[in-house]
Amino acid sequence: MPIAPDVGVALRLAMRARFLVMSGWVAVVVVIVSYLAAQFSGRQPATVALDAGLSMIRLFLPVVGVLLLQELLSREFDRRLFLSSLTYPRPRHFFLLGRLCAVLLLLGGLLLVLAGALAGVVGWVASGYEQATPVALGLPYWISIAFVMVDLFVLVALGTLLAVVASTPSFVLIGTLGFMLVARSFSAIVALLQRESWLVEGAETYQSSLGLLGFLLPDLAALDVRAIALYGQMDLLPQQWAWHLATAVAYGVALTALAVWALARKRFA
Amino acid sequence: MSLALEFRSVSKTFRSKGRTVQALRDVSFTVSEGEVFGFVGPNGAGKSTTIKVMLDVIDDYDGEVRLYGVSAREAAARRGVAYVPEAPALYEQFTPLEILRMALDMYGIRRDDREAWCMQWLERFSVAEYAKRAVRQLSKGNVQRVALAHAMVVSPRLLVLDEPLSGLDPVGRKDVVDILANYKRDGGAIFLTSHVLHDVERIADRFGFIHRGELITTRAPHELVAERADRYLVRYQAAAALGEAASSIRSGEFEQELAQADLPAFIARLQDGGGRIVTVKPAMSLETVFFQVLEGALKPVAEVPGQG
Repeated sequence: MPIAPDVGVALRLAMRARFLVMSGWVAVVVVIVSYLAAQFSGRQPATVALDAGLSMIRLFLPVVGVLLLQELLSREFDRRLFLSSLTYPRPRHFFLLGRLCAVLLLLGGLLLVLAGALAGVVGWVASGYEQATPVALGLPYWISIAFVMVDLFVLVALGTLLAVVASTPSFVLIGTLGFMLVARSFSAIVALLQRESWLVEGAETYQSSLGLLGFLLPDLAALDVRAIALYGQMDLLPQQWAWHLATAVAYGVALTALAVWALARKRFA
Repeated sequence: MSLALEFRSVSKTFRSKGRTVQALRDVSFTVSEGEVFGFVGPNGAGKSTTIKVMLDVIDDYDGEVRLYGVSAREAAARRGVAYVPEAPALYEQFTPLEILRMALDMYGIRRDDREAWCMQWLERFSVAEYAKRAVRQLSKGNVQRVALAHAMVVSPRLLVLDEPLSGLDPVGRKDVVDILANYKRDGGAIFLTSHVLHDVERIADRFGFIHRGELITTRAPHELVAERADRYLVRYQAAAALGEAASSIRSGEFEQELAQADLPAFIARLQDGGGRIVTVKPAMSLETVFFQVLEGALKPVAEVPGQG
């Protein structure tokens, strides 16, 4: 693979940036939060533990991803390290795709570790109390984890684009997390406004504006399919899941292509 | 001899604070294989911009740049070209050994003796003892040595060095100049910029003088000597200056430019007055030319492309 050296350098840089320590802390938080959450539900402790754990994973992994992007891309431009990395006899996009692949590999690995740890906690909680609707830690669980990975891919692709075009590293953090907030919530807001239009005055106006967002943003909320694992029912998987998946992947690929184009045109003083 | 580097009518403008700055103005020159080309000019003259254009860090310029016949806009052109920036751009979390291994990977160089080869270069730059220590723990001079080793480890055909001797102590400068001289002897080409004119003078085959983005002239050392071969700069100690043309260096020490024919009479006069000679050297040094260029004393001489 031509970008293997770039991926290797990025992985080593991430390890030196205390990725393992950061991952360890995230794992501890996920385990503790899911375990404590189970204690608040007498009748469905495993479901609540799984729900809280997945929420933690969906919250923390994008933050870890953005911090990695800041370390591997923003810092590179900020400290003028590109004077070495972009002067090797390699196309610029090798550098960018190497960084992106490394971040996705690390996040994918961390996601698997966290998912495994969460499954362990939930399984342990479930073994102590038999619920009426048991959680499904088999295929449904791993399907929902795979959807989380696609969600992460879109966010990391956006973060990569921002890291290339932004002049301040903090913009990558703010921009990516802001995007995450909007992309994960707007479809729920649209649905709410359609269902209960009495909630706000002029709900139709909001609906049309939010409807426009639907063409510009991927619907990341649709990638949250945890219900199939929480209740062990595959029929809770949205009927348009393949479409949601395909559009999210296409959006991520488009953002990556845009980042490659932006780096190729980036002017270094 | 084939060309390692060709610049043909290269111009580059920047926008800075709302105004257009001409960073390079119709710059043309060539560097042949095995040649050492020193690029000299004051701060902001366009030396670093020239290097960035050469290495495609800056690609929005007019004109044409070729490395070994391949357009500099293509990544393949940089195969066999190694660069050391003025402020070494090294990952400070990595060790020198990792940095050299990374360079081999990035150039796609596979060697069975990879580890020994890297260590050999660290030894040649006297930083082998820090091979497994993070770069951030090294002194500025040692970081510069690691950067040079990082460039040399890929066995480049052309070395591009931006102020390679800055940050080095006199011993380090001598070591590096010796290594570069060896590299040149082995047939390597070097393009270097430096403010340390004495060192450039020692290793360069030709010099290019750039000022405000314009390549004022290129000169070979023998051309410098030939221009004013009969003029000498005499530094002497005496109670008072011997002539109005003398300039005072410090109390009791003076410097004066003289024609070769006037030297015997001048020395006799100096000795009669109880003075003594400190140094006698050719009047036309790189430093002299450098300042003459700055003062606009030399007429612009454009190099004809392809006649490097």
